[in-house]
Amino acid sequence: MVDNKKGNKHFLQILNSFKKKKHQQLKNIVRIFSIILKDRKGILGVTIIGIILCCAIFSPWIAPCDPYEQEIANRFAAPSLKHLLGTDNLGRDILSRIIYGARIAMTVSIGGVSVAVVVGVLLGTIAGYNAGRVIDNGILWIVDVIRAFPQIILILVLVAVLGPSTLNMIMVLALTAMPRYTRVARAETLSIKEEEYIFAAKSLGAKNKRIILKHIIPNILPPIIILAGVDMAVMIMIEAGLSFLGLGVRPPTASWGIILRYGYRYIRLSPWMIIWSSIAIAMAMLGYSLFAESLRIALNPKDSIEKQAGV
Amino acid sequence: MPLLQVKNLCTYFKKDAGALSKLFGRGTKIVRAVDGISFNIEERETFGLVGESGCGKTTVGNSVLRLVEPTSGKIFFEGKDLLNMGDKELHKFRLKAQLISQNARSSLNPRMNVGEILSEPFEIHKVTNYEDEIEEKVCNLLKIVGLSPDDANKYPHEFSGGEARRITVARALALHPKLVVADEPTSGLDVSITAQVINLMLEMQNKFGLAYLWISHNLHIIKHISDKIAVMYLGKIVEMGSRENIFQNPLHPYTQALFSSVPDVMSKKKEKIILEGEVPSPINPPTGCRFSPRCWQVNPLCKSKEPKLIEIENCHWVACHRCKT
Amino acid sequence: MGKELLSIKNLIVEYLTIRGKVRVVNKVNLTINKGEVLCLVGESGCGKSTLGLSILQLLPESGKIINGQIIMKGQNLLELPEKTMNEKIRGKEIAMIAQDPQRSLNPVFKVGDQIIDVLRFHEGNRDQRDRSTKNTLQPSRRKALWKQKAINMLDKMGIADAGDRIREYPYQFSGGMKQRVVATMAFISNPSMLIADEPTTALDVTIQAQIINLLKDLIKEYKTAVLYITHDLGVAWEISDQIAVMYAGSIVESANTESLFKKREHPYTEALLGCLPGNMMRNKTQKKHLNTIPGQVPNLIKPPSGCRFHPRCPYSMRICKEQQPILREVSPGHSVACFKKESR
Repeated sequence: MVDNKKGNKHFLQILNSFKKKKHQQLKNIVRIFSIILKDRKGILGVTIIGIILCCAIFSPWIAPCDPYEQEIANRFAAPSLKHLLGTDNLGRDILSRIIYGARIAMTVSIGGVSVAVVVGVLLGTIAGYNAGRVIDNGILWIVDVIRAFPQIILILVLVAVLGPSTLNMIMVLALTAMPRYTRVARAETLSIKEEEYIFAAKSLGAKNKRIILKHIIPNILPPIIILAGVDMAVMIMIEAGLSFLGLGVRPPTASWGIILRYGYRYIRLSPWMIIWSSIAIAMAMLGYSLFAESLRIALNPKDSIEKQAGV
Repeated sequence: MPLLQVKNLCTYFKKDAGALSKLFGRGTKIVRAVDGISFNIEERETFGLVGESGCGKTTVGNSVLRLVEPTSGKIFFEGKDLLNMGDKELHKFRLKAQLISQNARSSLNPRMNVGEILSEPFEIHKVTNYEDEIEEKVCNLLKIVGLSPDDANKYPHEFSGGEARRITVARALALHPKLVVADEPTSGLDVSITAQVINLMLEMQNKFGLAYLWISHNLHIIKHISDKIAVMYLGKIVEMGSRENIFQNPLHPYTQALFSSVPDVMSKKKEKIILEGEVPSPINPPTGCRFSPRCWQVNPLCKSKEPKLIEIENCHWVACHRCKT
Repeated sequence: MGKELLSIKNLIVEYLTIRGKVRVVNKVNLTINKGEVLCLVGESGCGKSTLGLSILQLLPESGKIINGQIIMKGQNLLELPEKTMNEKIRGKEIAMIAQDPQRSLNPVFKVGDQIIDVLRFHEGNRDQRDRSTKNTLQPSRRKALWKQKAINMLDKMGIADAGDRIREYPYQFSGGMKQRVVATMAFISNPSMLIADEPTTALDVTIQAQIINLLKDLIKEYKTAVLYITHDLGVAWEISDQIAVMYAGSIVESANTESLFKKREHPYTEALLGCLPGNMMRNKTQKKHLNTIPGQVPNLIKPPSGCRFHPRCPYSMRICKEQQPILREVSPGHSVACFKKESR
């Protein structure tokens, strides 16, 4: 009976502490967002990304028309009340296609960057922490091999070999983006490795795994995050580019790159496809960059403007 | 049996020459940060280690805790050989010997709040599995060092220098160690805060029965708190002894120069011993006595033969050819 | 008053921070006489560095001089245009030595070039007339003269082989030597006043003794007035003729050095000097606890009402919470800002 009670107590305590941790993390996120939203850049960035995310998640409810419904009689129409952005080469509503296109853009950029960041940062910190040893040289070698290829060529070749699909695109983009993160993570780790708080952790008896996960990684995040923000923007562009070349998602899927492709083909008949898809891509890239910049400032507890008064 | 016994400790660092230098025959330089040091620390004792920058005192602190691997020599902690310990035993050693770093702010992870920082010792050594207990211990620690339990949610940059120092003291004491290496614990702090921190550390010493290896260049503080003192110069101990002996009767010329350089409030303005030149580099220490280039009592023997640390009187050792009487 | 060199009247300096306005220097009155060393003593956050920077108007962007006058040789420095300030005052009439010699020197330029730069800026605008030929000097001849002047000065500062070292970079100098180079740059234009902001804090004790000795010799030779800012009371005792103690933006006590240390009129001065470990007697067995000042330095965004020291003062009376005391002379040459001392 006693054992059972102890077991229950243990379980409850774990549950409590878990809730507390989540509560603490949520508070942290709220705090970070409040800092971001005080900055003009942040507000603009969050708004743009928010809009795009909403489009991506709630596309079936937001889009006025079915993105695949064709109205051949009404092709290349100019913006009108019914089709706010006009229609494309098959009479499909451009606005709806752009809204659905946000899904592809978001999936590819967030997915690709996430994989690249996770793998890159882990490899980079391990390499930096063991600088000079075999594992460091090994990781650097792998990374340098990937970097030796021009990024575009590597992407094209891999996509051509693996076949165009969203998942393949994410994997390929992640692979080509990863070296940057490894390099940055390694460089940051090298400089942080000698900091006094790492030394203090070692003197407490912390093992290497703990030092890397709890001390090093949280402190190297700012440059990684801003790089990720820029990368997300770049990945949207690359996705658009691949789809433009016909190596991305296949039509009739609505993706900004596809709209761009056909818009280019039919530019003499109607400029609207190119205009709206370009604006969508540009806005997404802008939004990501602004958000990443203000996130970086918000994430660094020391960088607040309060430190200006140097008495 | 002394708590800590150090015998002939040497810690050298390699300063790698670049590829081009190697091509021209200039090989790897060796920085002899600590070059043959021996001393003992008893339980509950405060051992003051004095010296200027470059003398190696910080390296002594790091070597004694094996945070930097000593090159040679022997260190015994509670009778056990520290340098030949296995990983598990070393882990247990860390429970009993802790470090307070020089710069309090930078020894606190800026991305962890105080609660996480102070829970870390308990988590590393798996003192308990219950989060509640750890929280309780953290609150206790904060109270002991004069901070409030609410501070556990704050981040290091929100604290003043003195408060950050208190947090590092709390962290060092979390596991009730027996030896604390305090590396310049009051550097950068104001006069009134220094007094508070010193009082705190003395209180902790009384409460937990700690021994301190107190490293500092502030002679006033060393004079106040130490039981035994060692003066270091360029990797070697030049004079060592009880507090009374050292301060009432400094024998080594460097010790005398050091004491006379310290500005003393309300002292009669006496003739100061102003040393010429700078501290030489520990890469190429001078031959013979390392202080000979700057010593005003130098004679030819000093330049050729290195003096050994000899016991001049009870609890007073000097390494100087001129102090043999 | 022929002796007065610099007179600060009612100076108020505020910083604009994200949390509000911080009044860092609060109606300060200070006078420095010719050839005198005045030590400005206080703990961190009291505003002493800001006061020093305000004289040369070198405050960071968030700092603003709200009110006051800084009068030197009949002129209010705060009214001078920036160009005059730069050409005539900074580095010429008033020179400055900062705390960290590492950051005072540009790491990518040779030391000699940096010293000659000072000369070039201050003397290069005027025509140099060669005494023998009465013609305007050639630029190359001017540069050679400057170089020689720099070498002579470095030599005077105690740097051996000055002629060779003038070609070296700052990283090749140690901390103490860097500070000597900075002192060279400060004294080479023969300033009438020097502002030294904690020049020896970053240095070792024996090097500090060397630098202080050097400064004493230079002050004697050049008869420069010095505003020496420090938190180290021992150094203040050694080097100064007059001392002003600052707390939370105001000067609380001002006197000549011996008088201040002996009498310690203001409660803060008394408490501060009481904290020093050097002054404690202790018996052999028990380590006595040091005296401390209870509480903490006040938050200057919302400072305490009335006298800013009253929350920590053992003698505080009701009037201390209501009004701010003004510096008043309690004995010849010795002023205190304290209601308790005034009432005697």
